[in-house]
Amino acid sequence: MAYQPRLPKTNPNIGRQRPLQDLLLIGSALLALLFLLYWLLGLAIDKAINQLSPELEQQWFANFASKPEPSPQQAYLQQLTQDLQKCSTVPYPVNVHFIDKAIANAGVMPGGTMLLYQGLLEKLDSENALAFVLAHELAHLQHRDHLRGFGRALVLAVLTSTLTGSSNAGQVFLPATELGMAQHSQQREFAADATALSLLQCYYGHTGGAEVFFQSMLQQESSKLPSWFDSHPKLQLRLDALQQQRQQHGYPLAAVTPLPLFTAQ
Amino acid sequence: MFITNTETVPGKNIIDCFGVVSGSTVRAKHVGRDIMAGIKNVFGGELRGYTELLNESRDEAINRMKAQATEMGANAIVNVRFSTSSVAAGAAEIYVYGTAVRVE
Amino acid sequence: MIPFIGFLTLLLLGYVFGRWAEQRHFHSIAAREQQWVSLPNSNNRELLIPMQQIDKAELVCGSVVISIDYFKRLLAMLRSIVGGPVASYETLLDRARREALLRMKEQCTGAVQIINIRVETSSIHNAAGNGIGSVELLAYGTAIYGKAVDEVQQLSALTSAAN
Repeated sequence: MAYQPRLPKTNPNIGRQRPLQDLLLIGSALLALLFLLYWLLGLAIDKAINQLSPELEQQWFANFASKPEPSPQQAYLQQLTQDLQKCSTVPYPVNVHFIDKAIANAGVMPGGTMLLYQGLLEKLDSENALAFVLAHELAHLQHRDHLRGFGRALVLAVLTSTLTGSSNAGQVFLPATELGMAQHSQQREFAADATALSLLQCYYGHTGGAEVFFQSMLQQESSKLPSWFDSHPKLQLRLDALQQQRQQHGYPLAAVTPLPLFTAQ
Repeated sequence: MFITNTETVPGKNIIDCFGVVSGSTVRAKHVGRDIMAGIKNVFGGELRGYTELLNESRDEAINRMKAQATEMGANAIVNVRFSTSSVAAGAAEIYVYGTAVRVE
Repeated sequence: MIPFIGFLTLLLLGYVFGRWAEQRHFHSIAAREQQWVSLPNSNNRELLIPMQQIDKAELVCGSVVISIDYFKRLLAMLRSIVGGPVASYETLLDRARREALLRMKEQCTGAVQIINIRVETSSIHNAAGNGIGSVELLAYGTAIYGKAVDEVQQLSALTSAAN
């Protein structure tokens, strides 16, 4: 037996390498599938939410809400919300929670709980401006966006984990799923703004002060990045949408009601 | 081409030796089969999808090893060994190696 | 927006540097294989070259841990969803094996031959719960040092046996 020193000329152990084509092909096919499923399940969720009566929702979630701390702001906000609610179609009582923190934010939770932070109140100069913020949150309740957002997040989580299994390939789709969630959320925000403006018109007979909150926030908005991945649209776009709606429906502008002074804490 | 896992090809004389040759392949089954295998895992039994996957990969690896040996001028591979490892989730890696020789 | 930019950056870095590193590694492997091609090697247990005198026989090992780049890892993840050959992983394993075999050979300068070569693969990243990551390759064999029977002697031995 003799040893013949030789090397193979080609390397059959490496298959055809087309990394970029593979990435584009597989990635786009999976994305298309994911978007299709997400869209279909989104429709199913919207249908299911229409089936779920507000009374039932109230029953399910009422126990989770805690009692708010009594304060002058609290009583005032609760009264204003109740007055505004007469113009809306929210069928259950809404409980406002005033939170004494410097964050400029407000939100709703399932079961008709509305949260409003001190920081937001400080940015407003009139009752009308405050009423617009409350009306915006009422509109979310009326559109049942709190349930929609929750449902969609759940569907996305289940969908990506089924598709990608135990591997952490889910991170590949993270940007895409975030984009989908953000786009849906932005649509709901525009819809809530529109409803809030009509609530304001219904309650005061004019829409003065509606844009105050957005304008005060606009000075702070420093991000020049596009807002595709944000849950809320750009403030300028929201202001433009309000202006357009005003012109379309011929909503008048009039003098605003000042905010009461909260002296006692 | 003779492929054996003994050190010689029985009944033949080895004339030349070319050193170690190898073939390897990594393959994945699509997620549908992974899910089915997951369900099957509850009840036990043969995971046909995976048996098939490993058989396909093994054939491919042997073919690649043969191709390497042919290029070197060998007509037999002796002392062939297999090894399987799971280097990626849902994918199987088959490695096969042996000594390329020429028999008369 | 920020995670998306980060993701794209990692992808691009992985593609550019992974490609560069891989090509460089393959060039180095090819050159060293050419250098070591004359060392007889086999995975048989018996001697490949008949020996006149054996000075030493010892175990030699060569091992390497190689990781895949971000781009190829992502590609492999996507591939494991749709199925089929994971081509992006094959280059990793191929160069890891050849590197381990070369390191084994580089351990035994002066040896006449290496016999009974075995190759082991393990994916050391699996323990961290991450299915894809890096592989460890270990090649080992027995290096035989000494003096080979040259062909003239071999022939004379044969003729004397015939007489």
